[in-house]
Amino acid sequence: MPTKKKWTRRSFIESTFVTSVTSRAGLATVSSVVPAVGRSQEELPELPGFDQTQRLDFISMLDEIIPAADGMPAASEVDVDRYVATLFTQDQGLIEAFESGLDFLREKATERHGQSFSDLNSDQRIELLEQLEATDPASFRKVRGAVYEGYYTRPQIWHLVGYQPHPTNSEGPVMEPFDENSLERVRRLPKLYRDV
Amino acid sequence: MPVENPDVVVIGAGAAGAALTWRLSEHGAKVVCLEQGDWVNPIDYPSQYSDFEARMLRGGDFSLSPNVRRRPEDYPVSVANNGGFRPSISMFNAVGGTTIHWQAHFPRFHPSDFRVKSLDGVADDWPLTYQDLEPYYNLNDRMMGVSGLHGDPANPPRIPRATPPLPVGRYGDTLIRGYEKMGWHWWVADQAIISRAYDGRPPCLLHGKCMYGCPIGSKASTDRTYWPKALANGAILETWARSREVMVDSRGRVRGVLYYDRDGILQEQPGKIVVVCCNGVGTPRLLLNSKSRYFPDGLANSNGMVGRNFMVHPTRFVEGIFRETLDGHIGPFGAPLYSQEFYETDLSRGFVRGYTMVSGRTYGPLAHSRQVPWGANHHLEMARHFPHTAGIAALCEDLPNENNRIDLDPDLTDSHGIPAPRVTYTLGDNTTQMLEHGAARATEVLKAAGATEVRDARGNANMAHLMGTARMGIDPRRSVVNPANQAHDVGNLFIVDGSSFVTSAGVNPTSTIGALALRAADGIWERRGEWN
Repeated sequence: MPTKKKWTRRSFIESTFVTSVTSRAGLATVSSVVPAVGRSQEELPELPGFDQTQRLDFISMLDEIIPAADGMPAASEVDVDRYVATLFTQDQGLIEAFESGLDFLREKATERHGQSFSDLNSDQRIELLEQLEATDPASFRKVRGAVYEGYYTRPQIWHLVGYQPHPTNSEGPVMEPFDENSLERVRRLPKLYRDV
Repeated sequence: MPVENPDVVVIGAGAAGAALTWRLSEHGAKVVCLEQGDWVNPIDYPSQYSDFEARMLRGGDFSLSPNVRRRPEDYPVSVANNGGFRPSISMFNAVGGTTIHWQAHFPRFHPSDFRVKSLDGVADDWPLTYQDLEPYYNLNDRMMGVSGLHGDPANPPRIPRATPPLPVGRYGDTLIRGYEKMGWHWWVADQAIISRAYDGRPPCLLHGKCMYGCPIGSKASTDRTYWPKALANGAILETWARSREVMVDSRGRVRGVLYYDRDGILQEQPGKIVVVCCNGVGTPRLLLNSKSRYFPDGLANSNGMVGRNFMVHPTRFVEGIFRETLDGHIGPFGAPLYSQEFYETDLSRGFVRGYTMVSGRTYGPLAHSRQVPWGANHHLEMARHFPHTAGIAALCEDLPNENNRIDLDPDLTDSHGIPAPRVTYTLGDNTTQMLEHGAARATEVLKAAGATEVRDARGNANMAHLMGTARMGIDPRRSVVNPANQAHDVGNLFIVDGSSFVTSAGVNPTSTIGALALRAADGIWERRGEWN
């Protein structure tokens, strides 16, 4: 079993900084595409404390919670993984929820299928995620909430779901003025309040 | 630093404290206000950023709950678990108070709301009338800037609104269709959001993020309405000033306020008059923490009534899903329209008093997604919900009950070690009946409007309305303040906010809080000969 370090918010931030500097300095390992998630090693999120298997499982987990379907991208396709990694710097409880969830998925995937979670097919992954949700609903709710947050705060998703963001410095939407004629019937109602 | 020789010390710079300070400063009083929070820079409003929903919903720094937000200026509030409904306590601690992130609904009480005992045999009458308060409602409307339309048959005639109604959009038109089919009352809402330029503030641009902070100031928050005028009059506003207790002198009269300044140093601000405006939870907390030889159970609490009769406006949210594309996420967040078809008492409904059906607009996609399952059907379900929902909240009158109360938590304190408030609350049978009735009627409207699916969105909830814990009355044995908002026990202590409400009515309270504050300020000024 890979060793796993328990991360505090401080150690996570410090480690993220080191990893980031190392990466920018060109010290990253040689690129190779990871078939399970369709990304190169360098494109996997920087998740200090998460080993390679956990990072792959992490992506797979996100993409089963919000998959690519019906013309919409999967979570990781709009960088939800990086968004969640940012949340890790603010929320120790969220790190713990993901860690325990990923531990559960890895253990069950190995036990039942002899594979890592990310190497399972979609049906198998969903089955394990449903088990996780039933076993530890509080942690799963936290995980799900973070994934949804990462997804639905993305401007490209707003466009796809029909949300008009109208930023502060814009003129705003055009809306028809209120039509007072629509109150014609109500105006004729008898007084509804009680005189005192 | 404490101010030398002020006439009046006001504690709290929200809806009440701002209005009261301005009015007193207009009269010429020397006023200093202590506020535990700071000014909020509009650049920090979540509405300016793409994670605006997360900062309120996930538990960020703009959460409605101080327990979640946990800013340095916040204090914790515990809620006793008695096995039933537990109200959520929402407030904002800053210059402007909760008006920073309110929805700006601006209804008034009905005349009958001040006479509930006489008319309906429950609770107590207010010791004042709608007519007593009407000129102050009008003044408060002018100061805050209101959009809307006069002529509503469910309310007494009122002066024309400062600006025309805001657009109701497809969302509002859909709900109107429902109300019209039912043949029920509805009216376009009064909102403290201006639809045209007014008093130096620009008109609403309909961005739809009112609750995340209005950076342009079209939504009235008292940091943009009352405070600039009060400061121009010479009022002094001390921010990061957390009041620990109100001090009394050897005669049992208030002599000033003990507070922690921004450096955490304990200071005493003297004053001839002290006015507590800390909301329905913060006010009883401060009074109960102000113990002395004269008031061993807390200031103004000789009858044990401080903290009792806590009311919150229990609410039921019902949501309809429509085939057509709606626009609930744009336009002013507050209610485009409301119905008071079931506001006045009709005992055939199975309860006394009544409720308003409020049709507030919807949040953005993140809030909607919370109701949508994860996995393969996620996108189809999301597409069915957003932007296709419209909701109605049945906002119910909460009758006073002495056992619903605020006291001090024996263990919990704020960052200065000051004991935190504790809420004990039980939903009353009358309110429960009213909630069920409201949910059923809201369902009927949504179905009549064409909803393909209607669901009771959140079960019983409550509004961010904190009322009743230092109630007004003529009888000193059963109330804390008199009709002038003056403490029965202490002649130079006034309590002016939702805590002085005798009953809650079935509408949002802020316009009434502002009107009461303006009226109380006039009363304080008229009796200035008694200040020393």
